[in-house]
Amino acid sequence: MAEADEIIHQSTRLRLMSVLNALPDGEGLEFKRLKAIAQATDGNLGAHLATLEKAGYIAIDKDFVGKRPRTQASITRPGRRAYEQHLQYLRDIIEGVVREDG
Amino acid sequence: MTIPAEEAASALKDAEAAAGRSARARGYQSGSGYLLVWGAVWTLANIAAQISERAGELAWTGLVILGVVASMVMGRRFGSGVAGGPVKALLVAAAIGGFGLCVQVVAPPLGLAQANALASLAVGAVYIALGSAGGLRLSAVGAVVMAATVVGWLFLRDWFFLWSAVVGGGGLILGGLWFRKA
Repeated sequence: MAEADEIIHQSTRLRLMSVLNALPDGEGLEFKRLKAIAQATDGNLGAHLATLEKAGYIAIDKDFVGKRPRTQASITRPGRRAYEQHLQYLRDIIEGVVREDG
Repeated sequence: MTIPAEEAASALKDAEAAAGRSARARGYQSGSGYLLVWGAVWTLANIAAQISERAGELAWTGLVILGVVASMVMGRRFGSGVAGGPVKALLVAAAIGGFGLCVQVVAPPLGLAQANALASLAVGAVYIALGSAGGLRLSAVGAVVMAATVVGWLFLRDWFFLWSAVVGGGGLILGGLWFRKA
């Protein structure tokens, strides 16, 4: 049975993970673009990304495009697995497979 | 951790919407390159056709081959998560080219301007159809290409190729830049 993931369930982090999970393996998004697509209005985006990175769910890579520094976030394999499991948990709650009181 | 059913449903809806936006944005990003390449092909080939029909025929032949090769390269690049990206790009080119050949068989003989107008209308219709499934910006580009083709055909027949170069090719290029902003 799927289990809840408290790290992913926070609304901004759930959206960030949803956006990154929709990309192919190894493909990332720059922070500004990630924020726009996730419609993250939370000013604490950096802290949410750091939380996801610390959990091993996303990777943050820094490189240069020409002379411009670029920071990209991408989902990791464990991140995909945890995300899918959490979504399954949510579906199970809706379908009554999991009791709402946990 | 306790999650009420209403909250679970709301979170799931939120997650699906975000995933949809992400997939759409990626589609626009990958489509942008195709529009820029084919916009350049349209513009250059039509300018050559305005100079002379022979130059137009040669330019179309050479530039379409270049466009197909560029599309296959982009298909390989953006198809990293999708099976057969370059093959799909080739299939789209073959479908449009095949459509043109079939029209020549059914309704010969078409002049270069007629063939050009038909190809533009076919591309516009394909974009509108694809856009309805994956992103309305593509439908908007298709509608502009079709409308521009009809207006040029009806009112600017003597300058049709130049009109197609500026409005049709330019429209594709602007569409490609617009996609990048998505």
